[in-house]
Amino acid sequence: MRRGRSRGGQIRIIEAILSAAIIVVSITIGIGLMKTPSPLSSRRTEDVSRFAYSLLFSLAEAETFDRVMYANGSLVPNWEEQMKVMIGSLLPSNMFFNMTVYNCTVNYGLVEEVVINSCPISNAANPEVFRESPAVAGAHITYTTRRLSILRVHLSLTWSDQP
Amino acid sequence: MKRHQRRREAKRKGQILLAVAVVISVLIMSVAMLTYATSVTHGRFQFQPYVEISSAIGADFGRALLRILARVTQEYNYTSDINIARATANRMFTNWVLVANSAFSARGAVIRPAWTTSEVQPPKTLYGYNYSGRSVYNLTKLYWYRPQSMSAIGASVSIEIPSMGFFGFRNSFLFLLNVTIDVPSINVDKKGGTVSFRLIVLREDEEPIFDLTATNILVRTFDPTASTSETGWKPATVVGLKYEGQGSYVVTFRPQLRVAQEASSYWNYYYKYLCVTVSDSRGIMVEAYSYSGIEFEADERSGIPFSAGGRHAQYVLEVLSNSTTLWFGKGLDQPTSPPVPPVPKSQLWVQTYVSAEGWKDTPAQVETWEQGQRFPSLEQIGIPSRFLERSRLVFVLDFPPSVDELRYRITWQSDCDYHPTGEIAAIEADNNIRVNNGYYIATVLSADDPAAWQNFTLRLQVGTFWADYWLFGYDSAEIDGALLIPRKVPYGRWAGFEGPVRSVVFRRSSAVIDRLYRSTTNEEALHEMALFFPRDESYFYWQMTVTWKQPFQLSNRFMRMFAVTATPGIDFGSLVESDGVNIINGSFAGRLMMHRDLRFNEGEDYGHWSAVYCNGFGASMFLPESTLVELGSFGEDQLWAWTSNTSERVMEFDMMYFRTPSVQFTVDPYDPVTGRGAGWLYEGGIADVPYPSDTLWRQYPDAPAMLLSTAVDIPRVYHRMFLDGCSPSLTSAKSI
Repeated sequence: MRRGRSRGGQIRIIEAILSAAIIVVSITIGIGLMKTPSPLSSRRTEDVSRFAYSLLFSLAEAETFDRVMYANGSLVPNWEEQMKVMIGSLLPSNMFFNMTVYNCTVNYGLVEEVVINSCPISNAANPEVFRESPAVAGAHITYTTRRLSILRVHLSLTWSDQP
Repeated sequence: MKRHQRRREAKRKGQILLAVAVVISVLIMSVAMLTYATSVTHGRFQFQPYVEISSAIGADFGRALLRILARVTQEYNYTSDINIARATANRMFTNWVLVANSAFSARGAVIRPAWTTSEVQPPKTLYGYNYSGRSVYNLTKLYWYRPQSMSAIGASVSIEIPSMGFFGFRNSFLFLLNVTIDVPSINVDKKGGTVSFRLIVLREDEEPIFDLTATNILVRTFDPTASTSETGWKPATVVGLKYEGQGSYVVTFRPQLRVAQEASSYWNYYYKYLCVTVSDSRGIMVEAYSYSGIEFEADERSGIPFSAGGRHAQYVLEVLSNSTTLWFGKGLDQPTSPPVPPVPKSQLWVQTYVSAEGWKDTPAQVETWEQGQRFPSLEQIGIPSRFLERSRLVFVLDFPPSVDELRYRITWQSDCDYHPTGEIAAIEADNNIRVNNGYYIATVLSADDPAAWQNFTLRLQVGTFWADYWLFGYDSAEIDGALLIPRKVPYGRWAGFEGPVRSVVFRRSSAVIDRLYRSTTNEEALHEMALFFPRDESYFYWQMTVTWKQPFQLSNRFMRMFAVTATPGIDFGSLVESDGVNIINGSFAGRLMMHRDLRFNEGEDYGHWSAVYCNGFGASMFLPESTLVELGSFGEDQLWAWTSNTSERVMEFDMMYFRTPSVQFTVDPYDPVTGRGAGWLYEGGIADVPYPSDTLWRQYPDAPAMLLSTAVDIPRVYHRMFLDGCSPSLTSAKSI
């Protein structure tokens, strides 16, 4: 009779420990997953990323890459400067951009990308701003030109909180 | 009692265990659901740019398709070669897929494009012409050269980004440019010197294109006063372009005419034949014509009496860009006809109306001739190009027995992927050119070495029989008691091409071989010869021009135009047309004898045809009036017939008969020798009833002239095909 009562107590202790463990683990996982992004590092990055895509779409839709970069089938000299001015005019003053344009060719089934802007297309005086910024948003698109060159255009944006 | 207590205790333990199990299960389920909900919420907070990525891919896919269509239409317009344009399209499409997959691979995007098939225009009738349904497949399709023409491209792209949980996105694209010439609206203003017409330009979904300017529209019209060295289709000047809404424009243009004051036929007739090329702001081109074909009606005028089972009269017609139609090198009588448009040669198509079968396809080939259409050319063989002033559309006009009126159509395929069966190819040759036309095998001697020269120009062989035809020769000489007649003959390499309708072998050379010295000279004559071998026909025909390069003396005046020698070793008879009466010489002994010669009898008595024959084989020569006139230009012409000591029967049309003793002659550089003729092989026949007439045919005891021959029918009937006055005539011509 005493042996039977002792065994029942042990089982209840084990049950209690298991239940507690399960609850602790669940809550731990839940807390971990429910961690919300910081508004500065994520929410705004998302908006800027969308903005970067939107900007690239607009440029592509207006055939800006054909119009600014090419004339009579050749690259326009100093087209990078024109592109810089154009993009700069579309962005708020506290936003920095850096655009890189790659020409994509296919040789024997392999894609080769060559940067065709001979100088940076950027309004950042110090290129380190993109490296030092806690949040940089980027977007890239492909653009098929009228002469059937395929470009990959990458646009990086970051911002300064100081107006 | 004890037993009862034990049972109650066991029952209570079981209830506790059950309750604990239920509580734990509920707890575990709650935790799982909480975890799932947390995960979903987390995903919602995390920015996943799949909308932007798929939009970027879709937008550039559509852009790439537009660029590809623009490139295909421009390249095809420039090269006339849809294969080149299509290869470019496929390569660019593949490249785009590779680049896009590479560019978005870091995002985990998987891009799968596919060509789509969709109908872009149902079957319909427009301006009296039936359009079959038009579909887009194989990426791009071009339907040009009709009053309603279009360029289109269609494909779809599927995008999946598994890392973002993005699946099942598919976007289909169809782009097109549709151009319609409103044919009834073509209107001429003779006083103002302009022509106007309405043009409707639409894009996909029948959206109007409203931003065209005069630079987007090229109008070409046919100038009937164009010289033979220029294309008749000339760009006009667009002097007015008015947009009326709904994609409809009124285009007014001023034609370009070489001799404006002689262009009344343009203002009365040709103004309605337009070629309009539209290029929209996307770079997509379409070429449209105001008509879809030309229908002719031809009359057979040879008077060949066709009985049941008789052979067809099959003429090889040649049509030039201005619709001038030739047979045997001479233009046919024809009314003013719509010009053949400058479509790519591969699009042209000929049909003949046969009462029992309706419109039936007729084999055709497009040849290139030299500027001015004087001589064939090897240029552009295998190279797609347009039908212009140097082109000839060649096809057979086949009058069946008892049919003397025939309708045929020259049309042009709208589907630019059309590939005609059998195209022109150059004939590969070492020394000799061989042509198997299905009825005979022709061998044209073509060697650089005078030692390789044979005693004929070309040999036609049928089974074990053959006939050797000779074209032109001059001067004569005697060596070791043997005569060289002619002493000098044209020489040099031949070139040629062959197609589904005929083979053409031609030579332009200054080389002349002197058989006396076995040497060649390039100082005496420039000779141009072309031989035509229609497929599956028993005849061939030729044309020739010999121009003396300087005055020089023939050592003995002699000039031959056309000759034939039959298979040696077999007794042959001869037939000559004489004033409409047939002079017949039957079987003969195989020994040397002179049958006809102006020196001994009336060799100048001959007509349009002659033949050598035996039972089983015959070879005839036909000459039209113009060549007979040329033959008689010195008043020394004859039809000469002779059997050699090797029993070769020779018959020839000579411009100057052979003289003994020799008489010199100085040629005139301003008096070229020109001629046309034909040879016809057939089954020969037998002769009967001796016919003593020494004046027309020298009598030999064992080879008398014969009165009757069964070999006479074919040459007597079919030589009429080659008479200038008996050529078919075109009685009507209209656009369709």
